[in-house]
Amino acid sequence: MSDNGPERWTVLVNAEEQYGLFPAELPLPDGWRPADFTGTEDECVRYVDEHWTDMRPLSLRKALGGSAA
Amino acid sequence: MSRANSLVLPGLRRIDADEVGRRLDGLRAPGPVSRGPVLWTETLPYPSHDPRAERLRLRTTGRPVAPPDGPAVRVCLLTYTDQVQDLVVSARPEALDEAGLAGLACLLVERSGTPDPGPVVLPEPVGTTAAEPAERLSLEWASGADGGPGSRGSRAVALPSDDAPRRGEAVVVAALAAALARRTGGTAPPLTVRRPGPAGESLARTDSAATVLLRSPASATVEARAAAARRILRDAHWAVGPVPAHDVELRLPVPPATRLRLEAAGLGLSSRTVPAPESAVLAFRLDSGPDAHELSCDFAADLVASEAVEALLTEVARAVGEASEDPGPGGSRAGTASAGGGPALGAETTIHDLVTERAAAHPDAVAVTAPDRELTYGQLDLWAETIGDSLRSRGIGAGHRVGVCLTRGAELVATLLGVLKSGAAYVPIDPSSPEDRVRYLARDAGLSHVLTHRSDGAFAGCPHSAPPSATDGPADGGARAADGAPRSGSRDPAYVIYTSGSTGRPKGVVVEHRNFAALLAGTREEFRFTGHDVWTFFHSFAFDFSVWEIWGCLATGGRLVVVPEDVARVPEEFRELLHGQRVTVLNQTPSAFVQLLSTETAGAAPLDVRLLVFGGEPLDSRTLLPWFDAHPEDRCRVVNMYGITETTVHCTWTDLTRRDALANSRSIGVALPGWTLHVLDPHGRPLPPGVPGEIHVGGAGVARCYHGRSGLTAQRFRPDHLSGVPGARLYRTGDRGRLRHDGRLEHLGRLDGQVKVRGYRIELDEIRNCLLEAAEVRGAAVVLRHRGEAGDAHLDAYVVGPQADPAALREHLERTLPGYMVPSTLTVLPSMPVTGNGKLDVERLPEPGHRPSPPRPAGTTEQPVPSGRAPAEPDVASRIAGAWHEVLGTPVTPDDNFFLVGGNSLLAIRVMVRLREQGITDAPVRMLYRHPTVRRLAEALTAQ
Repeated sequence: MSDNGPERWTVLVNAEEQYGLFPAELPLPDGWRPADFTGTEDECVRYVDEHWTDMRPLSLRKALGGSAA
Repeated sequence: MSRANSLVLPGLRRIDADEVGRRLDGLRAPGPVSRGPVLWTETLPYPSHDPRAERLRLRTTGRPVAPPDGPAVRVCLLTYTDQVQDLVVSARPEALDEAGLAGLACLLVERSGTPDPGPVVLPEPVGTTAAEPAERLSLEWASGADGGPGSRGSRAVALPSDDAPRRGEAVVVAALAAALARRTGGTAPPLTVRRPGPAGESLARTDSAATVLLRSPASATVEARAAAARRILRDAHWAVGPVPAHDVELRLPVPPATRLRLEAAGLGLSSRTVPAPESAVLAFRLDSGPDAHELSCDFAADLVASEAVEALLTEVARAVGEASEDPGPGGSRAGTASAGGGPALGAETTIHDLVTERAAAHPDAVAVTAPDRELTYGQLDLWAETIGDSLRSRGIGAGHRVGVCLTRGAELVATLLGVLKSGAAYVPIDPSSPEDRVRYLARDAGLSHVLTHRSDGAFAGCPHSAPPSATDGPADGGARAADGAPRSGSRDPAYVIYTSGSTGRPKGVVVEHRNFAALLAGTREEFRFTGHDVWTFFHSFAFDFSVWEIWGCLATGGRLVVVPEDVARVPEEFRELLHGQRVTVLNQTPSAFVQLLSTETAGAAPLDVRLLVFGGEPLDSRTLLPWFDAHPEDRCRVVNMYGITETTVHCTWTDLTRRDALANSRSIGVALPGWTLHVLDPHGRPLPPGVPGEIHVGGAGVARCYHGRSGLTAQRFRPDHLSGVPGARLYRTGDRGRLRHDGRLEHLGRLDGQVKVRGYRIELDEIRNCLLEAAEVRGAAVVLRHRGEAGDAHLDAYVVGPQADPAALREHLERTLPGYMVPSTLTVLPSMPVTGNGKLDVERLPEPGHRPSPPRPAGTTEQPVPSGRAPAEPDVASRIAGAWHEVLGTPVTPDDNFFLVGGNSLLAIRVMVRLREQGITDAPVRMLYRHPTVRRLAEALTAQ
């Protein structure tokens, strides 16, 4: 492909506090809110690495009471 | 000689031929008189409404403007007996386009005074011009063309009318560019826009054409794109005469001002312009009337499918219609490449609960048949309880990961079930893995415990033990009551399977119970799995195809036949097992299956397989023909399933028939119920059917994450903006595919499957498919290697097929592929090496130098040079062979053809230079072409 995709990405978070990279140029999809970070794909990956530290879905974390790693 | 562009102004009256001639002379370009435009006048012996008049007009407009070195423009004034006149203006296409003709015609017959011709100069006759290197239009989206060579087709669509036609033109240009961009990889191809000159100020300015590149950002609304198009059209360099001919051309209508002016002059405008230069693959034409626009496309019917043109025109029309009621970014979703398999079915359960239910219903039914023992469902369940309890007594439960490193057998199955029963997720570790990898997995997965018999240092630092044996019995009630670790539910992880990462570090895919439950729910009705089915556990449990084999069987009450690794490797023994155990459900990777097919001989023991499922890698359906010969479709259903570990084993399915095999169908079918598929461009926008893009998978199979890799997870599992399910995620597969017009998905290989050799872009799959077209080839692989003293990139091809003849195959490739795609070497193998997962093992493909020797006359042997038979002086031959070896990077035998073992023109020069340096010869390079083997070259050089 001659086109490598968007240059600007934004980090989104859903209600389960799962993170996802999304093209900054597209409108916000349903059920996702911005994590207030926009940058290149690599920058967004680094941002998520730093900020998404517990990858269990929020509802599961609540159900388990944070008992397991 | 191409035909002329022509324009007819019919129904004129009282036009003075002398005046027309004077005006024409006034427009004459400086230069030889013979090259100026000519006026022909003719008085016809019949009235203008006579049928002969119509035929004459047609003849006149269709006639080339000849000779090539003569005038580029011809003007005919036809006068009929009823005093009506026609003016026919014709020009060679490269000299004057429709707009220019219109402008010229106006000038010649305009009545209000003498027009000021201004600075206009009619173009010189044009010979050849150095065209800019054209960017060719990608035509993958338009495949399926059925027209004969050179034939043209035509389609048209009505566009919503617009009260500001000029604004409308920009909208059409923008919509067309966007629609083309969506089909050609995200960037609009260059568009030759032919436009009539700016009307109004000076009709005499016959501006004609410009190359337009519209590269609007993906986010742009239709309106924003139209605004950009308007600016570009306004500022474009409108050149008279030839512009670089691009594959796409758009002809804008005669401007309204010109038309109005002609109408004011009492002239009707009727165009008979030849639609497009023959070079344009797609020649669009916008015709505007006061009430409607029409967009038509004249296309090369041998290159472009008419359905593809229809779809394109429809999309442009829709976008133009939406321009006034801008829906915002994303535009209309209709007609895009997305397909859902329906709602997810009852997925809120766990794998172990599904198995336990079967055990409760039929405790005495056989669950597992292994070489060493057989387990009933009751025994399996009890043993697994014991294993689960032992883990729970260690405080292990939901949220934990337990490594399992055991050889294939009954114990392995019970242990996997036991880990699930504890609440933890299992992490399969292939016992044959090297110690370093095992250590890496144990650390990366954060294992709480490992169940293994392995005693090397691989698990040092991680609690590990042998799984409790079947006779240990359940832990006592006290231990069970005491455990406090939480039990697992459908949303907890069931397994973590490691897959290779592009970075070289394997990554663990975390799959939840509900993901598998959805897979089972989506397939069990369709495949009618029952307790009478017998499945094989053939694939490594570190490969997720085994998830389907093991749990698909045990959750539906079937009997699971464990295939030991040493049986799985020997097709004859595996076939014996299939026969002896009366296996009914067989799952295979295509690579493994090709080996099994080799046992499909006359008199082979019959099989009871009723369902054959392919998965794990792309299938060449042609290889199935021998299977269909022995196992008709009404006795054994053959299904191809596509999937990725990250979307839980499978996500599509399609039935395969003999017909598909003959047609070499690449279809991987439709989404499973609960799964969704999208083919998206790099910006995440859905592509229309037929257009290749990246396959994205959403729905019930989307795994939770890559263990401990939050950034990577967020990068690959994206917010799902297409399903409408709030907060849902889409997995981007890295696989290339396209949705067909019938809704089925075609798999087109990896997005990164493209390699470059000497600057040429090559899809290895294309070469592979070409090899598979040969009837004698059962399997094929093509790899890119760097070797030789310069590290040159070579393509090495490997084929499996007892009858395969490398020389004949090479001829076949040379017939079909461009030279740069013909592999340097072609090696026949008895079988393809496969990995533990049953996929092609590229690492274990032999170097081409170690190929089996080609058939030789009896009595000769393969020997290093010099051969005993060589009449040539041995020293020369061995030094030639040495030079070849150095340059080609592979040892050669005396009779190897240089050009069949990796040589090319560049390497031929290197060889001869090397021989010259060594003082062996200063013969020209063509000697090597004439004598392309070591033996013959040595003979030739010695004879000199």
